[in-house]
Formats: sequence, structure tokens, C-alpha cells
Amino acid sequence: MNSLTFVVGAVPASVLLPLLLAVMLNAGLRGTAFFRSLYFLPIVTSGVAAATVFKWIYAKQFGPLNQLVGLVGIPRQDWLFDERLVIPALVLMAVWHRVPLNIIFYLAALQSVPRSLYEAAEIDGAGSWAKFRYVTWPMVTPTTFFVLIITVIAMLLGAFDIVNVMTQGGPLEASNVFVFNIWRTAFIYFQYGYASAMAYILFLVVLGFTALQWVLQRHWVHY
Amino acid sequence: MAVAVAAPRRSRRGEALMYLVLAVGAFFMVMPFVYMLSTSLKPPTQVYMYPPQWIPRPFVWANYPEALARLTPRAFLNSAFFTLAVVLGQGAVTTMGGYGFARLRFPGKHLVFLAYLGTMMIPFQVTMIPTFVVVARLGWQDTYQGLILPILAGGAFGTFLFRQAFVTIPEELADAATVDGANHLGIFWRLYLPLSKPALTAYGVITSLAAWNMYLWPLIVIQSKELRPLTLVIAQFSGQMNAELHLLMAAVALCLTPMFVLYVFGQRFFVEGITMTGLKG
Repeated sequence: MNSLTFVVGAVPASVLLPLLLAVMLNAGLRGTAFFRSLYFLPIVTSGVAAATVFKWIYAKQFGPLNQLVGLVGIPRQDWLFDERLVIPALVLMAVWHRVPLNIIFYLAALQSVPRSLYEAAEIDGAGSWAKFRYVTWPMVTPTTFFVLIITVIAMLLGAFDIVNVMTQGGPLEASNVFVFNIWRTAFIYFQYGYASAMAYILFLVVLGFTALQWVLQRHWVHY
Repeated sequence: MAVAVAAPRRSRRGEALMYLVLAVGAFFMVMPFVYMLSTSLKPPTQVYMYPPQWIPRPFVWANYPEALARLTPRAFLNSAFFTLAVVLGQGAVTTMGGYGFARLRFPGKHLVFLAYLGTMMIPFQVTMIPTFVVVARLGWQDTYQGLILPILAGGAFGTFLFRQAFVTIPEELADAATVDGANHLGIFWRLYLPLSKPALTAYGVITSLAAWNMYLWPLIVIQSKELRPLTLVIAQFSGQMNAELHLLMAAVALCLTPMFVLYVFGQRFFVEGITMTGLKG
């Protein structure tokens, strides 16, 4: 259940933000290479290292996040120890970690859109938005589909590093996501059988998600 | 990465807006690194101030040698050895497997290949328990071989990648080499590998990154202090060094350094590797 909230929270931003940013990084602005280098930095950062830093960014007493939200007048929060805030906090970090990867997939897709399509659209008098809506978006739907699938799977499976370093499933099990639960059942409580059964369910969930997306893709993916 | 083509007409305002969005995005992307570096250079008294001081006064470079001593050079060597073993070992297994599937003929080849591809559908998190039980029964718990060998068996994606790369090499080249007296090993080593450099670098870079950053599997297999790779040490420190945040951040920065250096010199290879492999699930 916590996994579901986590995935539902993290996936939309991890799929749509990269598309937006990739379009801008592909617009031929000056300084693009510089921006790209900055955006790609989280890719080479391990989940453990990132989680260690974020744990302190979220700290109540002296964390920079509280400094930031303080600028808009929100009082200091205990992000990782508040049952309501812990999943949003983990989602924020997961999105931060995922966005750069997905930007790369979108950049590759955008660069393979034929230039002539845009020229044709311009001749027909299309503005920036129309070009995005009727040329870019249809051309990148296969990539969006791919990005959607791998991001859902990655969020289902990858949250372990973050959770184990930052919260250990707490507070009060509020961040006890599926993979963390399997690991704890098997290697802390030593219930291999029970944990294996859970692993099977995880597999079926991943398979089910993928199958569902395959069925739905017919309605919006253009090949 | 190809050079982006500038759109001929675009309003000034649109451009300014894009710069604004990119800058805000970049701020959020980079902020954690800035926080890490700034904290890692602070004297202990300055770490726990609120509001946070972003510029250390004075810069305490001595935090770094001390963090390295805490991490122990052995942990660095463990990570380096593990990464090297995985890259070379998995490289050997997947390239040879890919060659077999691309060029050899044997009964049931398609079935075996399909079964191989099928294993890609099963995430590691699903099979980690039985894998661990096998390692434990072999008596390999808490050993390098227990840590490394199961990873080498998980190269289905690489096998697929190299099969695809090898299939595009014209068969006539291999035939010509055979006429010149080369056997399969010779063709593989002297013809196919050199002709597949892009796939090799892409796979090598991505595999090193994955191995260097791997956490869950080492956490399961390794118990003793001497064998732990950096990720395990950092994760443990993360729970213990609350009172020495400056050293913890310096330690994290040290762990990131090798991959950052690799990234600075080979950003292109990371990008190619990711587009080619999808960062391996």
C-alpha cells in the first residue's frame, strides 16, 4: 500500500518533468551543454549517497529544506518523522534521482524527430504550443510509453536504498515499501518462506503493471 | 549527442522563460551537491546552525583525510575490486554468450535465447532470496566469490545487447577469417570485439556505475567489516555519525568522486550507455 502511494506520487512527475526539460534542453539555447552537465549529475550518484545527503536536507532543526519552505512562510517540518510527510519527502528525492535519466531518453527521442515536420508545421502557421502538441508529442509517445514502464518498475523496485538509509520503514511503518518489507522479512526476521511468497506477489504486480500499460498504450501511443 | 538545431523564430520572452525554468530546475538538481560539499568543509560547530550557513568559515580541508581514514582505504579497494570483477566477468560472459547466439548453430538455440530473454522480466529483488540461499549452502556467505559470482550470472541483458551488435557484423567477414584459418575464438577476439567498441564502452560504463553503486546484494551477502564495499559503509555511517555530519558528508563526497571523474571525462559514454541499455532495469 505504501508502495502504491509512492509509485502514484513519484511516477507522473518523473515522466512529465523530464519531457518538459528535455524539450528546453533541445531548443538550441546557448549554455545547453552546461545545463545538461548539471542535470545529469544525479545519475552517477548512488541511491545510498543521495539518501544520506537528503536525510540531512530534510532535518528538522537545521535542514536546508526547512530554510527553503521558510521563505514562503511555512513553519519547520519534521519531514522524515511525520507520518503524513514521509512519503512525499521520499517521493521528492526519488523524482530528483529519476528525472535526469528520463531526460536522456527524451533527448534521444527528440533528436530523432525529423526537422522537416517542424518546417511543415511552421508553413502551416503553427506556434510553439501547436508544434509541441501536434508534432513533438505524437513523435515521442513511444518513448513516453517506454519511460513510463521503466519508471513504474524502477519506483516499485528501487525504493529500497532510500528507505533503508533514510527511514527504515518508519515512522510507524508509514514508509514500509514492498521491497523493504521483503528484505526485512527475509534477512532481519529470517522468514524466508513468507518473504519468498511476497517476492512472488511483487513479480506478479510488476508483470500486471506492465501488461496493463501494454493494453492501454493502444489509446495514446503512435508508432 | 547530435547538435540541436535552433528554431529560426522564437520570441525573446519565450527564451527568457525557458532559461528561467532551466535555471530553477538546475538549482534543485545541484542543491544537494552544494549542501554536501559545503557541509563537508565546515568546522563541527558550524554544521548544526540554523538557518544553515552555506559558506564554510573557515574551510576545513582536514575533514577529508579524516573521513577517508574512517571509511578505510580497504572499503575503497573492496568497491574497486568488486566493480572491476563484475565488469570484466560479466563482460566475458555476455560477449561470449552474445557471440554464441549470434553466430553459432546448435539445436534449441531459439528456445534457449527466449528463455534468456525471459529472465530479464524477473527483477533481482524477486530472486534475491533463493540466490542468497544458494550462496549460503555453498558456504560462500561473506566471501568475495559469494558476492561476485551470482552477479555474473545475471547478464541476460548484456548477452542480448551483444547479440544484437554482433548480428549486424556481415557474416562474410567471419567467413573470410575462417578461410584465413581463424577459429571461433580468433574471430570473436580479433574481429567481433574490436568491431563492437561502441557497445562495449556503453556497457562497460553502465556496468561499472551499477556495480560501484550496488547496495542491496552486498548488504545481504557481506557481514564482516573488512569485505564491505563503500555503499555499505556509508549506509552504516548514515545511521551512526549524526554528531559528525561534516565527516559524513566528506565521506559521501569521497565515494562519489570516482564516478564523477569518470562522468567528467566520459559524459558522452554515460548518455550513450543509458540510451542503449535503459540503465538495466
